[in-house]
Amino acid sequence: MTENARSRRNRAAKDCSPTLGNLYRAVLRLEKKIDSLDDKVNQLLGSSSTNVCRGMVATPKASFDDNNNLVRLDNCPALQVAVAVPAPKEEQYQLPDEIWVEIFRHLSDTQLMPVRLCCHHWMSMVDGSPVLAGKFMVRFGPGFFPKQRVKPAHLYPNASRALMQEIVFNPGNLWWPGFGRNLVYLKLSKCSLLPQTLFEILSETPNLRRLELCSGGYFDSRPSQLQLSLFTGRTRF
Amino acid sequence: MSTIKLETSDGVKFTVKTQVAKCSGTIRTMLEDIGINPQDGEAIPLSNVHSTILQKILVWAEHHVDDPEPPRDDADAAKRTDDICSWDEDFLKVDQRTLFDVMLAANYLDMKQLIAVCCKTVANMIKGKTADQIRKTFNIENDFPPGDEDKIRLRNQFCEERR
Repeated sequence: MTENARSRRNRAAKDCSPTLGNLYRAVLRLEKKIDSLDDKVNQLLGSSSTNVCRGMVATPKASFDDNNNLVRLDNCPALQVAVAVPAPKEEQYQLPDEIWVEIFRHLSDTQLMPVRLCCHHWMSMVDGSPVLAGKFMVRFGPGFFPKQRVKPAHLYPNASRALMQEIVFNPGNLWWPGFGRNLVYLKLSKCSLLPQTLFEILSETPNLRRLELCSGGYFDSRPSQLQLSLFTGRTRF
Repeated sequence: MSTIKLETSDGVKFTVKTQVAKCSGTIRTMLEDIGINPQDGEAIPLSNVHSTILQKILVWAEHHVDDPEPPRDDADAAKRTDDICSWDEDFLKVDQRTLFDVMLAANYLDMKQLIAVCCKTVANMIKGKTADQIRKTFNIENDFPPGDEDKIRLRNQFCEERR
């Protein structure tokens, strides 16, 4: 209730007959009581978005969201407390995970990017499926690598394939083990690294099935047009 | 031609040509391995399938009953989604709920080719869409805290298409 309305009532209480005045004063006392109850309810509801009613005599006003769900009722405390409970979500026509994975298998990795972004559940479905996660190839460009201790931010977590281009490897990349563990394919193109660095990397990449070294300054003394493919593990591609 | 009876979750009985019903791996197993005898006149209960959906699925099975066996599924092969025949395309022009119900029923009935064509249809609904558009299409709630989505998007930049 606005201050204006309240003062109008106060004036009315003074101006009118004693009986009516008593009635008005009773109404005012009730209003105060309701105000204090409102505060208590609001405290109990915490930061809930509902505003409990302030008017004594008012028509409840309902409002609806886009989906025609009742979102709030103004001027009706009991109902408002009731609608503070979240409305049931719109029904989802969901499929079992294995069917979603089957659907996602029809998508290329660029199409899988937005799929991963939809929700946690879909992201875990993509990352948890070797077939889907295997579609991604992580690419590192020139100048990316050098920091040894800092893990590259936002690295795709379960990547099984990686391409390094024009990168100068330093020995002892401390973040590599966590990343390398998942790799089955690694291609180094025009990279520069020492033999011991390469072996260090390989020892931290236990699942590697294929390593390709292309046109780089490998082992420093070799010519830069070295082409070498090294196979490890049982499977050859 | 021999027929069998199928009973849906809502108690509706269908009389179906045995050959058509055998499009379903589940029914085929029931008839061949478990030895349910359709001549007994007893209906096979399909407790997970509603009559409206079974009716639709039977239309599909009737049309595809003479299809050759599909080639063995190769997990690594690039999957095409542009090879849906026009009959199937028209058949699957239904609302999403019906499409998903058909898929669930086809999954239960073990009808691989019907699932495959439905999967392609849904994959085509995803193709070319942004995350927001996909969420809207399938009524998915974005449960990433604000900011996280950008991080993942950045992470995505390290990936490139498999060649």
